[in-house]
Amino acid sequence: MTPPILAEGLTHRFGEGPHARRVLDGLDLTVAAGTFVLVTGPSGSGKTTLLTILGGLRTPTAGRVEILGVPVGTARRAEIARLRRRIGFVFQRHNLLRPLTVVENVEAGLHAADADGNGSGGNGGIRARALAMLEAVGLAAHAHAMPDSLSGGEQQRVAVARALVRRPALVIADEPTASLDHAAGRMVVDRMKSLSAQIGCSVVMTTHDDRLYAFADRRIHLEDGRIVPLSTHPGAQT
Amino acid sequence: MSAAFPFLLARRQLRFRIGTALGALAGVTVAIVLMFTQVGFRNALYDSALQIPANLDGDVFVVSPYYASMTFTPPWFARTLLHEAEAVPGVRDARAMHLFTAQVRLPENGRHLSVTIVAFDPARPVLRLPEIEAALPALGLPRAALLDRLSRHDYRRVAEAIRHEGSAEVLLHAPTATLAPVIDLVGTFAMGPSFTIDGMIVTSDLNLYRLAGIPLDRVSVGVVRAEPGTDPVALARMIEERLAGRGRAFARADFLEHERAYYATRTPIGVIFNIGLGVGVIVGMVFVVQALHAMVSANVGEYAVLVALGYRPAFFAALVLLIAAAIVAGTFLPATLIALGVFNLAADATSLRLEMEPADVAAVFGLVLLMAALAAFVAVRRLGRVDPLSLFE
Repeated sequence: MTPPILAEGLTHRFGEGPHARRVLDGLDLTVAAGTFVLVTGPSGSGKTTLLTILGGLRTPTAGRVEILGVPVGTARRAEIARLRRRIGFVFQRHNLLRPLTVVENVEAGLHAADADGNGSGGNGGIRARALAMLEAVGLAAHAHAMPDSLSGGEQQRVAVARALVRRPALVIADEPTASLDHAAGRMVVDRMKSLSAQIGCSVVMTTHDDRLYAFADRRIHLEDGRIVPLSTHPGAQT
Repeated sequence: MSAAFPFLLARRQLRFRIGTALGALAGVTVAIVLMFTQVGFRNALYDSALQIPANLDGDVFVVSPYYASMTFTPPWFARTLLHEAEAVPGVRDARAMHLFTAQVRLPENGRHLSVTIVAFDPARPVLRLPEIEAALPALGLPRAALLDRLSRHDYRRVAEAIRHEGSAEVLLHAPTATLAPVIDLVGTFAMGPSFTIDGMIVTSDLNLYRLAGIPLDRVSVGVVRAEPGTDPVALARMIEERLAGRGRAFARADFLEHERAYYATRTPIGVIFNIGLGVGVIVGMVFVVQALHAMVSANVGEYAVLVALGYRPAFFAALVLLIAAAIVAGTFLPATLIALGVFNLAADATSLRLEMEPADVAAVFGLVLLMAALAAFVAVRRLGRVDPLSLFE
């Protein structure tokens, strides 16, 4: 079975010619299904660039990368768009649609997936799945509230629900706890980990918070665009 | 993709940003009213310019080679050309019409008003208005004339005086007369003023000579009636060939179009109304674009997430089009009603015929749709630049 993420010699540069800057430098990476992976590293180490490539949002300049079986370096735009509908995204900012209720925001995650006939089960099915996902992230009581009435942590949990309600094969999370206090951040990652385990999807998440390392099945540490073996990285324990 | 989702999001966006939406609604309403008034005034201009030619009892019209429009005193041609035209096979008769633009003075208050004097031989009338036909014998009397009772300003009071007392007098300012000659207004008819001239008087050709000294062999427009079954276009061509450059001939429809086109393209008035119509479209578009831009700009991050989630450009196009359509739907009927009110006010003030025909409503609605589509296109292009990569900080 093809792993959700398979990268060989993954390289990415910004710019051309002598001014080109190599951000990722020949990464070899395989992520098995259902794995919760944390990507750590200092600012400028290439974490975000890696995530954007793994999310099908950017094409690598060199190397072979397959996401959910799709070769992102050579795939057509329509294939990439279809691929993205099989991926859940959680960002540092929740970016919930403020005019919609909490449950409608979660449903927004299903409407796009519905385009590929993922069987959301019609409007009734969509609502039921969204409510079930809100229950799973502990926000069922706020289903019909407006996002502005929720705390930052609760809003981020809605964003997690929106990402996972479509039962993606892969979740890409970019510093989802960066703007939250530690307790709220732990709650968000905890829900993300347990739900992804239930669904059986892989999660690749970047973080600067070493207190979240315990949630990871695997940690990848980047420095200067290269994976640094954890044994050589001080304080790395996963 | 659920078809209901764009509807839901569009509705909520409008409600959530009600201030922006109301601003757009007000702005677009004003723009639509502006479009209606431009169309209404433009049509009134054309209608008023076509009042005399449309009421001429002819199939072909002969004019000077230098003729531009009937509005002011047009260049004359020799009456002998009408005799030549009458010799063309298919011509039943060719009658002379004289047009003279001048000013009259009202004796009771000394006010001056512009006037178009239409003159013809009462034995060979050129206008087919029953009221004028009934009063033809009276036009044979010296200085006798008929007044258009729909004329503007003080003419209305003169028409009232004619109605109550049977006649009224006005004085003609004629460059050829030492003393202003008196015109006896002995009756009225209904036609309506033009954009530029306040009123109209109909009299005999002999009276025009008496009043203004215009020689009777100088003709403004030759009104040619064709034998039954004659093609007026072919007849006009034959007459023009016969006149060999000394006069032009138009079939009736071509003559009306020539008069309309004079205002539409050769005078600034028609051009200004058309520009005003374009300005209305642009103003409305600016308001819709502004509203859409405000809604899009406020949600760039949220839309970027939707792009990342795999929402297609068609979704965003549908969203923007629905918001634009809602703005149009919310404004068109109120704007139409306001425009009707403006038409009534303007018609009372100017005596012009300002009416909203179904075709005008359809035309303005088409322009509003075009405006909304252009605005939506601009907003969709803006949305096309939404990049999920911007979400990675």
